[in-house]
Amino acid sequence: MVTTPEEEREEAAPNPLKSFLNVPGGISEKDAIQRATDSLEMIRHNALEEIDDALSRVAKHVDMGDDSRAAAHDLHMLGNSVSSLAGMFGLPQLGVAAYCLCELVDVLTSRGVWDREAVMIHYDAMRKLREPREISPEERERLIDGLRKVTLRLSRAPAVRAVS
Amino acid sequence: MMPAPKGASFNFTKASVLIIDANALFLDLLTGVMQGFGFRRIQRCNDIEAAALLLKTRAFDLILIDPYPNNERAYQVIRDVRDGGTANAGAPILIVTGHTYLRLVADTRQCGADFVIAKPFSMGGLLERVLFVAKIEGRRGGLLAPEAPAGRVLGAQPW
Repeated sequence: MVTTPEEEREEAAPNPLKSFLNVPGGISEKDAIQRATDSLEMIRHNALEEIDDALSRVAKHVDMGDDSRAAAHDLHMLGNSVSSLAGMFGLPQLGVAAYCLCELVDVLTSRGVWDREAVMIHYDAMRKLREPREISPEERERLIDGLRKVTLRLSRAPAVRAVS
Repeated sequence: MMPAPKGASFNFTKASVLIIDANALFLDLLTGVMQGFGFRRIQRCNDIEAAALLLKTRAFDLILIDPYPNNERAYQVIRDVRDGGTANAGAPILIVTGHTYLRLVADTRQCGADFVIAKPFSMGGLLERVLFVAKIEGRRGGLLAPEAPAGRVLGAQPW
């Protein structure tokens, strides 16, 4: 009898992680979460440095105005890095803005167009949200809302300029 | 999803975990977090091809992987783990990634991973999912309840 890949998965191998539950010498969820949270603090400085380095590199892309696919790829990588890290170190709205940058790059590259001004708007928002206490909560929300509108508008707009 | 009972204990000191992430700092971050959860046997990999080789020769009890930026290759590696009949075929696989574009849910189901966790994540959220996948048996990759919504999806295929 021929079996499909799905049927073969039904007969999956045993889960090896199961044997480590409810065994002597373990720790509680509460302790595990506290230890993990403590470990984050040990790399906070490096994480913030990486975020700042990524922002500097985004700024260079904005200044150079490079609209190549390689530059778009790099911008996406930088946005993804900031998006992943910022929210884990008390900068959730910076993370959202960086995520918006990734979405913007996705939209532009999938449509074969580029919009330097839109990238610049995202960089400006990210730079402001790096120091969130210097702007009001309402302003922070307005910035994020503005970024989403930019990407939505561009996803519906005709091509601006071909990506090389 | 049923949360793990409060006060439940676990002992991961002898469990082995493979962490695959192209971002070196996030490798450090996940290593520290997993150590906090009690894991001591931690293998790190920032290259998907090196990870693919490792998965053919070593057995792991848990696999954390960020497919970004080589998404398609990473899904193939997961498929190979699930279908290849190796020692890792039954290991829980968590996708931990930043750019959770919506097609990722469907891709994850199809390749055989158990769960998607979006970066940034909370420590409690990650632990809850680790404990959840530690309990599951049988068919893998079908645990993600929400179907990818119909219609246009922003960022459907990053690269």
